[in-house]
Parts: sequence; structure tokens; C-alpha cells
Amino acid sequence: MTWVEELDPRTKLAWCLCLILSALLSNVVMVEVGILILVIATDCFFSRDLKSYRILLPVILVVASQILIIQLLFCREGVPLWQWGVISVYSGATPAAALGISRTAAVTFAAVQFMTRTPAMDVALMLVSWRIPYRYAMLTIVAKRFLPLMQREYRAISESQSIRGIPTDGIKDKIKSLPLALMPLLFRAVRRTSDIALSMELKGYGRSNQRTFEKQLCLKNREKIGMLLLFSVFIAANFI
Amino acid sequence: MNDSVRLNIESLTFPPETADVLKNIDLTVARGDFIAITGDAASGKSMLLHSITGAAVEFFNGELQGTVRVMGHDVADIPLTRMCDHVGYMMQEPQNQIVNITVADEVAFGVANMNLSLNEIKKRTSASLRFVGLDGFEGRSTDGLSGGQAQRAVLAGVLAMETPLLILDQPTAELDEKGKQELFARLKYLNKEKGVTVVMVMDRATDILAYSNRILIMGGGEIIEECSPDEYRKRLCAKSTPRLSPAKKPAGSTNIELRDVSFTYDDGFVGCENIDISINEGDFAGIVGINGSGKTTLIKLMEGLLKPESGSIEVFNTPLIKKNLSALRSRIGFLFQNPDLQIFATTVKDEVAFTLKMRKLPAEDIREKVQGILTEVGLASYADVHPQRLSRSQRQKLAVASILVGDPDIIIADEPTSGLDENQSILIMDLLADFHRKGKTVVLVTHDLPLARSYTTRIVAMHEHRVAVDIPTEETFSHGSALKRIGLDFQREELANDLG
Repeated sequence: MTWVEELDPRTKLAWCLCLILSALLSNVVMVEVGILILVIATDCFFSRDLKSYRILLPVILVVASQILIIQLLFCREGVPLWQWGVISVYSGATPAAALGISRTAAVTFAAVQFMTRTPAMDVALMLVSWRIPYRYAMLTIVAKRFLPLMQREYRAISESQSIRGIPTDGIKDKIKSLPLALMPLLFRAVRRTSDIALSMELKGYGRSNQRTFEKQLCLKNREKIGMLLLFSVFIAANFI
Repeated sequence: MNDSVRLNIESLTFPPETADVLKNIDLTVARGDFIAITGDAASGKSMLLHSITGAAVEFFNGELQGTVRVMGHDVADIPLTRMCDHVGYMMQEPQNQIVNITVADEVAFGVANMNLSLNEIKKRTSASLRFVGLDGFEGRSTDGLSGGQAQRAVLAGVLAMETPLLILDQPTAELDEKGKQELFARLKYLNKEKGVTVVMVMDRATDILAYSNRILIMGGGEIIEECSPDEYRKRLCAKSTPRLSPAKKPAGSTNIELRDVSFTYDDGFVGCENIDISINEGDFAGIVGINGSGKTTLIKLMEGLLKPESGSIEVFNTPLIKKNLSALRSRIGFLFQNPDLQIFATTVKDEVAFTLKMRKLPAEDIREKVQGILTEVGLASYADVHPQRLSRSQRQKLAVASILVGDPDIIIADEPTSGLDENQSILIMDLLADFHRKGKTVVLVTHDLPLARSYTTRIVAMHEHRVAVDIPTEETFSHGSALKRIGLDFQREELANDLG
């Protein structure tokens, strides 16, 4: 476990919220880009693992292209630059798109940083410390465990279908074959859900209102000081 | 009070269905019993276990006429979440029961729900992990466990709850022979030394005869017979059928050839190392080996699902590269361990017709071929049924039918009989044997050594990601010691079967 993962989840949440709120409050592209760089730099420095962002990148690119198209089509700020029939492109479209894209990227990366650097059990403990019943809090663990399992299952289904002649090589083929893969995935998911629910109940899940957790959350003094500093910087940067 | 369980069930139904899933059950399980329950598919074995756990009524919404008492308490009065005071339950697929991210959290899950002290939880967790041979695995991710390790982690979690009664539903389906024997030895210890009562559904009761004291045989929702292990052995001896001799054929041309092939997964796990093997036309090759020895990686390489890191693969003398894949795959059928991964159509006939439709055959030809193949595998009467309404063995047959209809030259099958009982396994294996008798090639991955010996013409034994032994099947006993060294005791398994 890395040093960052050992931090209290509340510290990590405070960091994540400060970054996200800063990104949402700012209207300057450079600030958004700065937040994005800060997220990547901290991950590079502390864990040297950027795999989760690599996976995220294509999604961000797709979203970015959508934002750009929408701004080019509908933004009416600035002066008209180009017109073709009813379609007009204004000078304000590109800066607005840049702000939208950089803000989306900053918010997404900050959220992903929190999710990937916080063990699911810590998130559950944090929710329990906020008096959310453990029956619901622990669902974060179940979700974190089963999402990769379903991803693997989807891959296995795709493999079996590609063997039977369904093309699944390119993105276009993958999208076309998705409905065929969904049916077995759905049946497997339903079966798995039933199995896990039964197994959990037979292991006493929900037996009483309280449950012993193997780990206790403890906010260290240096983390408290760190959070105080963080909030001070956040307020100074955004409101003063 | 010496009874662990007292079952008196007139009927168990699941409305709106009116058919009895269980009926006329009168069974007493004494403390210290080790009971093996066997029977045909859909004979009610698993539901009998769930009538004991209380899940039949409380979880599956069944209607039960009769009474079920566990440790002197009426099950109807015990909430499902409190059943863990009396019963530890483990089912077939371990990955479907694991909730937590780390092994330690998983083992502690049940005891933590019992709200015990942290010290007690830690004590029980480490004792259970030691007992199942997983000490040192505390911080390991449950996601990266092999089938056998996952099964042991689940067992450790159940044992940590220290229940007087263990209920196990086909717990060895994903284990190799070594894993099975280890699990049985642990259960035997708990049963003999700790007095834990064990009730276990087994697809193959012969595996457990040496450990159990009572055998229940179920059929049509009833216990049709109860006997001692000795009586069960005698009965099986009397009705045992001669094994099918594999067709002997001279080696034909090479169908699949791997030259110095190695493969490592992204996470650094070695799949195969320096594999040199040729599969010839007319071979019925049985690929055997303990869990994690590289069997599945090998067949995935043969099918082009994995790309070798070094070395070369040729199929029908054509390099197995991306541009040749679809042409080569039309000549190879791949049968997965779990049929549900490959079934996606909404009717049985559409599932079988899929390959033919992809080949753009005329509708009349498709209809004829589908009808023919469904008749051959015994599913003609289910042509319009949704595949998910079929039993597991019927779904496996459907998967075989969908492959056979494409008239492949080779079938590669990955544990096609896993989770099936003896009779169901024979049905599936006979279909593969019929295919082989037509002069075609079969590559079979299996844990079941007697089955491999019965049906194959060649045994390829994998060990530590390499081919360790590659011999004609009739020479397995003369290479017994070499095979035994890599955890494959054909003689012992054969003996266990012959005892049966």
C-alpha cells in the first residue's frame, strides 16, 4: 500500500473536493489546466501509476469532441466567423469549448484520483463514520469488487463471440456486437447478484445494526493541519 | 438432542409453478454425520440444502409444506441473517461468493457481521487461513486468486464462523485433484476431530465415498435411496458400463503446431513457456495438469485468443496471425467451460443457426441443418425454448450443437464437463467422441483424469507452464511416476473410479 493510500479517506476527499470546486468556480482555462496538471503530478510523484488515466483518456477525448461540436453549433458569443446555411460559427465558440473541455477533464481526473487512490473499505468506513448504515456503506466494496469482474466477463463473452465469427476487432465492430454481448452479460450478472446476496445474508450481513470493522479510521494531527492549510489556500484562491 | 437437522417436507413449490421441487422428504441428520447427496440434474439436491439454510422460503420465496428444524430450532423462526449461528454455507462458484477486496477482509466478513471483538476476529481469521493453507495471503487481492485459492478463502470465511453444521454445494467443481483431496482432508479433520456435521452435494459421489458415512441419492425432488458408502460402491460396480474405447487412428497431417511459444500476461503472470507441440489430424488430445499449470493459456493460444510473446503458431499449415484468424476460426470450434459465456440468442434454434447465418447460407439449408443437429444432441423438442430455461447440461449440449453445426475440423474444449454429474458428463463426452470418430480432431482440457483416459488418444500433461509429458493415452500407467511427480495420479483416480 502506498503512502497516499494510507491517508485517511476524509483527507483525500477534502483534497478532491477542493480541486473539483476550484475547477467549477474558475472561468480561466489555465486554472483548469493547472488543476489537471496538479492531479497528474501528485499521482506521478506519490504512486507513479497513471494507468487509470490512460484508460480514461479515450473517454475524455470522446466527451471533448462532443463539447466542441456543441459549442461550434450553438455558441452565439463573439463575432460570426463562418456561415453555411443555418449553421454559424462564432468567435466565442473555441474559448468556451476549451473551458468546458478543460473543466470536464479536471473534475473527472480529480474524482478518478480519489476513487483509485482510496481503498473501497476506507470509503465504506468513511460513510459509516457519517452514520450511514453499514448495509449501504459496504455496497461500495461490492461495487469495486464486481465491476472489474464484470469487465472480465464481458471480455470473455466477446472472445467467445469473436470465435463464432462476430467481428470484434475495431471500435465500430465492438459497438455493433455490444447488444449480442449484453444478453449473456445480463444473465450472468443477475445470477451473480443472486448468489452474492444469498452468500452475504448467510454470513450474517445485516444481522444487527452494528458490525465490527477490522480497521478504524483515525485522522492524524498532520492530516488535520494539512486539511486546514488546504481549505485556507482554497478560500484564498477562490474568494479573496 | 443429537440431531443437527430434522427435515419433514411434504412439498416445496415455487409459485406460480405448481410442480413440487421437493416432496416426501423425511430426513434426520445426526451430529457428526458426513452426508454426500447425489442425483441427476434438477433432482432437488441444491434446494434440499436451501431448505436447511432457510433460503428456499426466505430468499427464493418457496412455499414449504412441512417443517425443517436445525439444531432444535424451527428454520421458519430463524431470520436468514441469523442462520450463520448454526449453518456455514458454501456454494459452487467461489468468485460469486467473495465480497471483499482482500483475503483477510473476506475471511473476517462473516465473523465481523457477528459483531465479535476485533481480537476475536483476528484470532479466528488467522486460524482459519492457517487451516486452509492460506497463511501469508492476508493482504492479497481476492481478484487475483486462482480457482482453488478462492475456494479455500471462501471455506476459511465459513470456518471462521465456527458453525456446528457445514453445508457445501458442489465445492470441488473448480478444483484439480490435488485441491479436491486437500479440501476433503480438511473436511474430514473438522468432521472427525471437531465434530462438525457436513452435508455436501457432489456431482460425483465417488470422490467423497472414503469420507462420508451416508449417501443420499435424489431424483424427482425426493430422496429415492439412502445407503452406506460401501453399498453405493457395490451398486455402482453392478451397473458400471464398459468405458468407451477411443478410436485408434494413424496420425494424420498436422492440424496445429506450436514452436517455442511463450506467453506472459500483462500482470507478469507466466502463462506458457517454450511450448513445442503438434496436434495431428484425428488426435483426441487430453491436456491435463494442476490448477495454474498453463492449460487454458495453451488452448487460448491455439485459438488465437492470445498472441504469443515469442515463437510461432501454425494452424492447418497457415500462420495464426490476425489476417488469417477469421478463416481459420471457421474450421475450429471452441467450447468454453461455462456455456453461458457463449449463448446469446433468444431461442435454442436461433443459437444453433447463428453460425450458419453468419456464413449467409440459404434459409432452407439452415433450417434443415439446425433440425438435424438438434436431433443429434437430443434438443429437438426444445427448439423454440429460451436457452436460459434449459438446465446446465442442456446448455452445454446447446453450446456443443452450435459448434457442431458449423462442421469444424477441430474442437477445442475447455473443461466442458465441469459442474456436471457423471451421466451429464458422459452425454457431453459422447458427443465429442462421435465427432472424433468422424476422423476429426479434439483438444480437451480437463481435470478429470479417468475421463481423459477413457476418451482421449493422447495425454499432454502441463506443469509449471510447460509441456511436461506428452504420451499416447495407453501409456499413462507406464509413465505413472512421472505424472505423479507433477500432481497427476492417474492410478489413484482410476482406482477411486473402479472402486465405484
